[in-house]
Amino acid sequence: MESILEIRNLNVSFFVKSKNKKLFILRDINLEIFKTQKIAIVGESASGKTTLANTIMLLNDKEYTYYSGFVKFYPIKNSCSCQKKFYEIITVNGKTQILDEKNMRHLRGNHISMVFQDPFSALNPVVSVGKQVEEVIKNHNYNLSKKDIYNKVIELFYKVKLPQPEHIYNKYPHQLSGGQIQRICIGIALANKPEILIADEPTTALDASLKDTIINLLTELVVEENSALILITHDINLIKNSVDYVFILYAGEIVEYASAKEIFENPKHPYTTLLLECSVDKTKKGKKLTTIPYDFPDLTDEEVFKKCIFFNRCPKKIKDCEFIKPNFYSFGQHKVKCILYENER
Amino acid sequence: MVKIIFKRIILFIITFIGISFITFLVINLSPGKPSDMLEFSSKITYEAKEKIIKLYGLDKPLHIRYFNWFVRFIKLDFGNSFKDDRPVIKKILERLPATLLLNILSLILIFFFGIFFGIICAVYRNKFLDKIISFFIFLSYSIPKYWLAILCMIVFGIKLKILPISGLRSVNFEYLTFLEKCLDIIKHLILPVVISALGGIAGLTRYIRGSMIEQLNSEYIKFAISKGTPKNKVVLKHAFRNVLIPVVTIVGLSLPEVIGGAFIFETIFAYPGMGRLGYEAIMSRDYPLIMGISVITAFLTLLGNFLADLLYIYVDPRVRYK
Repeated sequence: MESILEIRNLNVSFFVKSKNKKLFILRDINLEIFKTQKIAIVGESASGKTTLANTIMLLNDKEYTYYSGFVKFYPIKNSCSCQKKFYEIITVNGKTQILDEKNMRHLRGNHISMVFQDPFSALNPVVSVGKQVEEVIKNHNYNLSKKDIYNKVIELFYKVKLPQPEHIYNKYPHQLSGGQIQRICIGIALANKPEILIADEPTTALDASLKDTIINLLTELVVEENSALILITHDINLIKNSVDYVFILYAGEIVEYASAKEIFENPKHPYTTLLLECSVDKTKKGKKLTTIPYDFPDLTDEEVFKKCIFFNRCPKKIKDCEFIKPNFYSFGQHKVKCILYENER
Repeated sequence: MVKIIFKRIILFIITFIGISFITFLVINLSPGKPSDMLEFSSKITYEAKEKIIKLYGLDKPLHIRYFNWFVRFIKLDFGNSFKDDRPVIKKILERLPATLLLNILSLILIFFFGIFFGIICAVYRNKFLDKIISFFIFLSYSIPKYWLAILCMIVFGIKLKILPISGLRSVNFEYLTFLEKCLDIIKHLILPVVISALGGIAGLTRYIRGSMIEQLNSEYIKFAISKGTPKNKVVLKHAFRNVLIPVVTIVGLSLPEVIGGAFIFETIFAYPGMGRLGYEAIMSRDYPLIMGISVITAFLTLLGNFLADLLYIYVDPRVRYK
């Protein structure tokens, strides 16, 4: 399989001005996405999911963000004649370089697209939605006529199953429902048939009844356009049937990754098991929901990175956990970062 | 839409009557009367004084005087000035062009530089460029305009002798050719226009900077960037259109200043505008003239608000489709 995005040893930290400290938001992230693969990144709030998405798009505030490691992107689109390899982030001899804006502009919306969490604030309130879709097409196709662009927009609206596309074209965001706007955002993201679509909690701000519809639409369209999907969510149940691979992110570290089937049937890391127990499910009706006690460790304190990151909340911790930073232990394709599996391999 | 406009017009009329009544009360109740000048003169007999007071209707009670004024006002008759007995409306129209010229020029400067500096400061916020502009902005915001005016008059007019210090025309204006006449007026305008615009530029820059930063931090800007939109387009097309909405209100509110003129400022520069006319009218308790000027200013303020509302409907689709 063709790899399109490769992230190696990625570290991202923010400088927090008010505390005058560095916040180590992502540490040692390794992941690879192949052509048309659908992956999910699951974790609770503040675990760094959105930062990871923003890092792939290089949308973090440049002044206060520090990167190290590698993010490599390999475009495979035939329609685009750009170079065949982009180093978004590269660290050589301790010096980190990030891709310049011009190249990044070429990637954004063209090769890598993103759908945001809150559809209501994602669109410009004073520009009609049709014009906002047009923009993304215009940004990357310079020689299309006005009529062509208009037709493309209408076609996109049909594709994301919006009723009466011609009518919606001239509407403003406040005249549409959240579900409709999210469909438009998905349309914008897929307009140029990108290799990768990042969906950052695309259903969190929507009605519960819409969640499945939007996720289904996303997965359906991604397959249709031959794109890869990075679905970011805190709701592990949401992705049960829609992705191939799952990465569990905890406090800025990937603690377990495996195929979706494995994660749901055979979770290994204590955090994953707890996460599955926490989620609402019909079978748990009448029972008290599990919660995970305590909070994240302080990510500005470098001491916590020397032990297992889940140490303070883990129900299965043993003595060694406090002194040894676990590595990934493999069970075939299933990898888990927990010392309990040291001898089980 | 029609309903909103109709409602606005009704409100407009009520507010207008209220303003004119309160202004009338305030000037009539404030100490000093137009007849004060006569009071201390020994040459004028008591009977003559009484006659004059009666002639101008100053012996009647306040509410009747207001009513009389109002009846005449509806017929668009502002009465005659106490001072020289010329119609008020004529005196105002004489001064209007000069004031319009000065203030429209200064308004253009304010909006051009205010928006320009505001955007630059927001885009380069906390960087060197922003800091240096902000420094000068604060400086020009805090310097009292009348002080700066006098200072500039001394420096450019008296010491350097490159700019005239007062008025709108030179003494020999009549004898100049057309081109020289234009140059003469431009020279006279430089100081008043620049100094009166300075405070406005400073205020607007801060305002635009603040609201631009707020817009640039919003989610839709991030989404626009994620679409691969170039930065200048993100700033000018997406963010600026949203910044424009509150600016419309400022445009509306600055309309009365354009016509009303700045009282103190025009007096310092001996500028033949509405502001100085108003100042002189107040000093001599010229009631009809004061009423004329304040009513026109009030009318324009309300009109400005009304136009701002209409503009609002134009720039903000959220208002348009309610």
